[in-house]
This record gives sequence, C-alpha cells and structure tokens, in this order.
Amino acid sequence: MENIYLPHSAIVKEIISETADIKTFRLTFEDERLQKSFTYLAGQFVEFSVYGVGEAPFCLASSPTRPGQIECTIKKMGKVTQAIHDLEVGDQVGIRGPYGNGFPLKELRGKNLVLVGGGIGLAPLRSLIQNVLDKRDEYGDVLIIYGAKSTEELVYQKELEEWENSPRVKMVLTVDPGGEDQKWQGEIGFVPTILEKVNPSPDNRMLITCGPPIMIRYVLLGATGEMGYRPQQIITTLEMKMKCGLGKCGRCNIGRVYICKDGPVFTYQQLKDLGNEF
Amino acid sequence: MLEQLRKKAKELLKNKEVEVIIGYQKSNNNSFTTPCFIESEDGVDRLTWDEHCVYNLSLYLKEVKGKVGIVAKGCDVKSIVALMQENQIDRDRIKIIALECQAQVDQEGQILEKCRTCQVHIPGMYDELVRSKTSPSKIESKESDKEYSVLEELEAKSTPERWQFWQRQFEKCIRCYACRQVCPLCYCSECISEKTAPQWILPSPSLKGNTTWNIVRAFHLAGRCIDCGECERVCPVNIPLRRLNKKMEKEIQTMFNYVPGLDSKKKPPLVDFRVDDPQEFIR
Amino acid sequence: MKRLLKKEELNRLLLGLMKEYDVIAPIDEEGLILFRPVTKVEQVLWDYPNSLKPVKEFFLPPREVLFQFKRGKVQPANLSLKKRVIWGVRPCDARSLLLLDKVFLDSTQDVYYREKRKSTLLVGLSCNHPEKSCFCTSFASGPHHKEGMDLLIADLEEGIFLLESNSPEGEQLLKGRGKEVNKIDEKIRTKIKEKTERKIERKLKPSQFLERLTNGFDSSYWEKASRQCISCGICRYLCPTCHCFDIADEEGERVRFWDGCSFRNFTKMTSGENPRFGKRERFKQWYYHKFGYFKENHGVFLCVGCGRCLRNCPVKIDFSEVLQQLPAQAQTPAREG
Ligand SMILES: Cc1cc2nc3c(=O)[nH]c(=O)nc-3n(C[C@H](O)[C@H](O)[C@H](O)COP(=O)(O)OP(=O)(O)OC[C@H]3O[C@@H](n4cnc5c(N)ncnc54)[C@H](O)[C@@H]3O)c2cc1C
Ligand code: SF4
Ligand code: SF4
Ligand code: SF4
Ligand code: SF4
Ligand code: FES
Repeated sequence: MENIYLPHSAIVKEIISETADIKTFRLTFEDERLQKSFTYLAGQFVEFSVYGVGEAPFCLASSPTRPGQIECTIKKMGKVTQAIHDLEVGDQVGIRGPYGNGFPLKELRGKNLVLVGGGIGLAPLRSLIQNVLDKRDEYGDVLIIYGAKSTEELVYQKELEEWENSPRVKMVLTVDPGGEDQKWQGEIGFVPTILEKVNPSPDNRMLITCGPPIMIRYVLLGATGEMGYRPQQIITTLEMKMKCGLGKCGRCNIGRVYICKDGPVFTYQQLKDLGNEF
Repeated sequence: MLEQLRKKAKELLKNKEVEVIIGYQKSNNNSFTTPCFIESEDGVDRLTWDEHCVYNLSLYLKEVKGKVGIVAKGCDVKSIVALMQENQIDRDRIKIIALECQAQVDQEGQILEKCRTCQVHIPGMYDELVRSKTSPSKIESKESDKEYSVLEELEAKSTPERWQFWQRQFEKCIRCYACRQVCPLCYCSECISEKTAPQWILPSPSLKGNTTWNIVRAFHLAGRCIDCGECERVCPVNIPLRRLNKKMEKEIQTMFNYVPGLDSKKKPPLVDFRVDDPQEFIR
Repeated sequence: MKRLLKKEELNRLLLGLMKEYDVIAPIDEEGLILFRPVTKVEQVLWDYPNSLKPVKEFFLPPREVLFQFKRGKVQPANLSLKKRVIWGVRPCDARSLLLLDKVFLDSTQDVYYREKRKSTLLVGLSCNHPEKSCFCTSFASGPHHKEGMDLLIADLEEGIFLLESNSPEGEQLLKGRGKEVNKIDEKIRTKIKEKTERKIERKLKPSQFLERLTNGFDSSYWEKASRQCISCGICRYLCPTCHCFDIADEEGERVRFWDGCSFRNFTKMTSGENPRFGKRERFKQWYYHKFGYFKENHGVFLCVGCGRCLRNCPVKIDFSEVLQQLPAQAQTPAREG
C-alpha cells in the first residue's frame, strides 16, 4: 500500500509573478503516468514540499478540466513559502494530495453563481471559474466580485479580462479605499460592502466566498442578512493550520470534523452546526 | 498561620482591595495542594498553607487582570521582584500576602533542594506578612548545605565528562515545555523554540534539538532565574535543570556581584549597559 | 488457551522470547519506569506501577524519520522491523492501541504505524495493585482485561501465573508450557480480579459526559476550570491515546514528532490567526476531543483510564473532577477574550 507521507516528485515549469509577494507556480509531475492519472476537484489542495525546508498546504488554483499540469498561487508568508518563492524553473519539488473535499459541483450545476474573493482567496475560486467556463452550458449566470487591498495586489490580472469577456459572466473588481491608482476604473470599497451594493438576488443562486477570515465573516453576515441568502446557499473554504492533510495529526480539528479531510469547503449551514470556534 | 492567612485574604477581598486572590488549596483527595483562584469572601476557607505549597504562583500574575492578591513564599517574592525589574507587572495592582516558610517538601516528603540553602525564609517584600510561630527553621543545616554545593560534583568533572553528563540528561527531554510554561520568567509572547524563520532550535526531540533548547533556555535565564526550582520540579523525566540555572547564577554572582530577585530597583546585569563597560562588543 | 505457569517457567518463556524477538519490557531507568529494549530477564520489573511513558512510543515514536533526501532523491525510511514483543504491557495501554488503530489504520493507512503494529506481539500483565489514580474500569477496560493483547499473564500470587492467549500467535507461545488450568485456579483468578476491581476507587460515569459537553461548549465554567493549567505538553504526551503530531524538515530528514493541543503554536497560522489562541480554548480541546468528538466519530471515548494525565500534571489538575463538575445545564456564555 501507498505511503501517505511520501510526496511525488514534480518540476517547476513556469513561474508567474502576480504581485510583489504572490507568485503562481506551474508544475508537472516527473512520472508521466502520474501526470495522466492525477485527478482532482476544484477546491481541493495539495501539500507542497521544498525538500530540506518543509511542506505547506496550498489550493490547486488550476482546473481539472485543463489537465497536464497543476498550478498553485502562493503568497510569501514564512519559511516554506519563502523557499517556494526562491524556486526557479526546472527545480524539483514534492507534491502529495489531492486532499480535502472540493467544491460540491453537483449542487452548483444549473445554478447561477456569485463568487466572492479577496486577495489570494481568488486562487481556489479560479479553479472553479476555469471549471465553469470550460463547461459553460452546465451552469447559469456567473457574477465574480473580487477585491484586494490595492490595484497592485490583484492577482491573475490578465485572466481577469478573459473572464470578463466570457459569455454570461459579470465581473466586479474593487480595491480597499486608498488602494486605487489614477487609472482605476473599478469599485472602491471593501468586498462585503461591494457585494451588498451589487446585491445579487438569491434566486436559484449559490454564493461561494474565499478570502481573509474577516472578509468571509462580513460576507456571511451580509449575505444572510438583508440580501436574503439561506446558510445552505453559501459555500466557503476554511483556513486552518495543517500538517498531514489526512485527518491524523489532529491540528485542524474543529468540532467533530477535520478541516483537511472533511473540508476545507463547507456550507455556512455546516459551519453553524460545528459550534462557535470560528 | 492558616487562620491569619485567611483573615488577611478575607479583608483584602472585603475591602475590595483585590478582586481575586491566587493561593493554595488542598488537591482533590487531600494528598497535596493545587493552585486556586478565590474571588469571594466565602471562598477564602479553601485557602490552605502547609509544606506542600510548592507552586510559584507568580506565574499567574500576568494572566490575571485587575487588582490581585497573591500568596507568596520568599522564593516566589523574588520572582515578583524580577518581574517588576523587567516591567512585566505593575506593583500597584498586586497585594502580596507573604508567608514565612521553613521548607517545602515533594510528594515523597523529601525537603526540596532549594529549601536547604534558602536565604529568604522571611520574604523580602510584601504587603502583609504572616509569621510562623514555630521558627526557627526545622532544617538541620549540614556542611553540604552551602549555597552552591549542588554544583560541586559537576564542577569536579572534566569538560568532556560534564558534556557527557548533560548529553545523557538532554537525551531524555521530551520537549513538553513544562519547564518553560511553569517558569514565571519565561514570559516571551513567542518563544524562540516556536520560531520557524529562522528556526534556531530544531523542533523535534532529537539530542541536538534538545541540547540547543535546554542551553538556550538556561542562557536566557542567566542573571534572571531566581531559583524557585519549579522547572526541575515539573520536568517529567527528571532532568536536573536547577543545576544549569544555579551554575549561571553562580557565574553571574562572581562576575557582577549580583543576585537576581532581591532588589526591584536594580537592573539585571545582562540587560544593563554602561559606557565604561570593559568589553568591546557592547560599545 | 489457558495455562498455568510457575515463575521459573514464565522466566523461561521470556528468555525464549529474547532469543527470537526484540523484547521490550518495563525497567527502572534512573528512577523512571519505562519500557525499554531488554536482553536480560533480571532487568525486567514484575510488580510495577505503570510506566511514565505509554507504549504508544513504540508505534508513534516521539520522533520518527519519515524519509530522507539525499542528492535530490527521496529515500523512504526502512519500514521493515525485526519481530518484537512488548512484555508486561498493562491492560489500559493494550487497549489504547486499539483506539490508535482507529486513527492510523483507517481508510488512509499510516504505513509507519501499521508496520510496527504488524511486527509486534503484546504480552500483557494484569494489575493486582492499581494506583489511586487508575480508573480503567470506567472506560470499558479493567485490571484483568486481555483486549488488544496476544497473551495475558495474570498473577495468581505465590509464584503461580495464569496465562491466557487472545490470538493465534499468543496461543503458539503458550503451547506445551506449564499445566492445565482447573476450576480452582479459575476461581482464584476471578477472586483476585474482583478484589482488584474493588480497589479502584475512582469511578466515572462517562455516559454523562457527551451531553454535558454538548451543552457546555460556551459555558463560563471553562474559564474557571482552565485557570491553573500551565499549558504544558505533559498530559498530552504521556497519554497513551493522544496522537497528535507535527511534521518538519530537519537536516536532510523529514521527521514527525509529538505535538499537542495545549500549545499555542499547534493551531497558530503564519498570518497570526489562531482559532485556539486562549488557554481556555486549548484546555477545552483536550476534553472535547477525547470525550466528545472522538466518541461521536468512533463510538468510543479516547481514554483508557490509565490515570497518567492526573498523576503527572504539574499543577495537579484532576480531569475527572473537571468533567464531573461541568454543569449539566447550559450556562451563560463566557466573555470573549
Ligand atoms: C487548505 C488550505 C489552502 C491554502 N491555500 C493557499 C494558497 O492557495 N495560497 C497561499 O498562498 N496560501 C494558502 N494557504 C495558506 C498557506 O498554507 C500558509 O500561508 C503556509 O502554510 C505558510 O507556510 P510557511 O512555511 O511559509 O510559514 P511558517 O510560519 O514557517 O509555517 C510553518 C508551517 O505551519 C503550517 N501553517 C502555517 N500557517 C498555515 C496556514 N495559514 N494554513 C495551513 N498551514 C499553515 C504549514 O505546515 C507551514 O509549513 C492555504 C492554507 C490551507 C489550510
Ligand atoms: S520539562 Fe523537562 S522534558 Fe519537558 S521540555 Fe523541559 S527539560 Fe524537556
Ligand atoms: S486521558 Fe488520562 S487517563 Fe485517559 S488515557 Fe489519557 S492519560 Fe490515561
Ligand atoms: S486531546 Fe489534543 S493532543 Fe490529544 S489527541 Fe486530542 S487533539 Fe490531540
Ligand atoms: S499536564 Fe496539567 S498543566 Fe499541563 S497542560 Fe495538562 S492539565 Fe495543563
Ligand atoms: S492537517 Fe493533520 S489532521 Fe488535518
């Protein structure tokens, strides 16, 4: 049987600098068979190793509908992320996974979607967006609300335009007050505020949000408030410190669930049932 | 003594001079004591005082907000002094009920090593003092009870032998960090052992990581450790941590003629700075 | 199979095992009672209060190398292990391994743990002198239980031992040894067992815990209950059922090592966010995980009543008290912060 802690060897194929401290890494597995057999769901994550430094969890920012490579978008935070940022094309890294439950695509099919992202929280949503765009007929209208602290901190800048021009997709970009520059044509304001301003109707719609905890909190409050979303209609991803990714090392335990194994994707209703540790 | 202790505690609570009193109470099956936190006058009867009051309660001072009363032995008062020296606590919000203490014993009834050489049977600083009726001390003084006699055996060894001794000890460490957690002077909000960038101390319980951990901790306590001996008491694998700290204390005393925890106005030598320092690196 | 052995025969059994297996048994190591590899029968303790560290250390070691990386290559640790016997394991500790199995041998099997489990025989020793802090009988175990063992040795006192196999391997070890067990021996055994069970004073009603815990999550009680706790690792590390670990790279090796929910760092993220920042939350997690979540997920409590946590707590926190005093009714929510 497989050794669950052994990473698979992967090679850095391309590094895209997104912002001053965020880069996207495109990887392929060294083992070609694995390259073909590696399947995953939008919303799942991997444990990314830089040998000698350590490993850390990152969502798969690429979409399973575009096989042949995987991508992670990574913000420089500490030890492992620093080492990842120091990587160069051609370097070898370790990947194990995919872990977690992923977005419930079945429940999203046929529905209108509103995706609310903040900062690097757009990474898992990007996987979903690509997924939806590649199977455009299966989903209803898509509204994307994305914000960052400032214009320089918006990720996937090129792709944002591409999405905007896709059929039945509406994009609303925003930056925090003070984060705009002279060319800025988008909104100015915090993401939850903009969401309430745009006020997408909850009819036959699912809201998926991902970003810093404080943003998520206000999005949840706002959406279930006057906007009238039911907690079952809201999906979010939780962040929690992780090591094993397999429900064994214990640290991501909240209530009876392990975020790594039973999450990281939850509906707001599920979160409510978990008790108040969040 | 207990009567008096409870009376003073009651007064403090009654006159609203303190909101809570940190003291000792009997443990569950009466076999020992455990720390307690008393917030009302009727709770005062839980307070106890005997030779099982080993804990240095000053550990809790930083956690408990507001006006607080603390039951303290001589050695515990030394750590309160040290915490004041390091600006960690505000003397004005603390009422010290100091107890004259002859000696404390461990669970097997043995007198604690530190008590054999105690110089502060009567605490050095207090708001209230509860004296013992049965002084003087019941410890028979032995020739071996000189301040640094616990170090003699180790100091007699050669450097490689000493290294070997400590390697054997550090090998046992399980990195439970009870020594750090119980230490009133280990109050850093982020311990060096928790830092990952850069990672100074290997986090797993390997001989190497354990050695760095224990040595770094001893160095960080040099000139600060007031010898309450709590780290050694709580260490589940019986590492004689007090010897490390005592050695540091001795060196500091020889070099700077300074003993920590006695004078709240003095500055500990390793955080002090003088223009006429003989060493180059500091200038 | 049950057989009756004299002390000499038992020693011979142990000696025989030492020839064929790596034997791990309780010894006195500079004043600490610990399970350690042994090569001489005389080293082995007979009547001993349970070891400081539980036998989990031989399945989930305090530090374990998962793999090494040398010259760009990952080299998995060698998993094959000589067959070993843990001799003298107490019933509570034997049972703890069955609980750990639920975590490490679930659908995603942990090969490091599994290989160690597979290559280890457990020869248990029943307890005739439980400690004040023991309460195995409250947690589906008992001083003469053989659950999880290959072989149980019951001391019938006066140099006679009743051995009972509990697996084919255990039966193999017993074959052809000692003499048959008759009704009188069985009676003596039952008497000793019952006498020992009566000696265990600490009795808990774990069935009540779940409901209390469910109601009490926000109770201000936890603030009070956790006040003395110094948030060390002792109760977690010395508990035979606590199994949390950390993973890190150290000098060319990926290692995993014990960790626990009492430490602030356990859940502290790089951003500074920490869902269990406060002492109260960390203290509580231990109770909720053992007596709430694990029970909900696996149908059993994550405790075998060995008493190590309360024996070794540096400030004498008695967890059974903490649980028993938890108010049965939901209380006013505690203030945040
Ligand atoms: C499911 C999930 C998906 C994530 N996806 C992304 C992503 O797409 N892009 C991105 O930039 N970041 C993501 N993160 C956060 C990212 O994992 C942390 O920023 C990263 O672990 C920091 O590691 P470090 O070694 O640089 O920091 P250090 O401070 O050195 O942390 C040491 C170790 O602690 C653990 N750790 C610390 N913080 C976190 C954390 N916030 N979450 C989980 N483990 C942590 C990791 O194992 C890490 O290696 C995700 C986190 C989770 C849980
Ligand atoms: S108390 Fe002892 S075992 Fe625990 S970390 Fe300190 S020295 Fe190591
Ligand atoms: S919780 Fe305490 S009594 Fe229960 S198994 Fe763990 S150490 Fe033993
Ligand atoms: S009680 Fe804490 S340390 Fe023990 S297994 Fe549960 S979460 Fe891990
Ligand atoms: S051993 Fe005691 S003081 Fe240490 S964490 Fe456990 S309950 Fe708290
Ligand atoms: S990351 Fe180890 S249990 Fe979830």
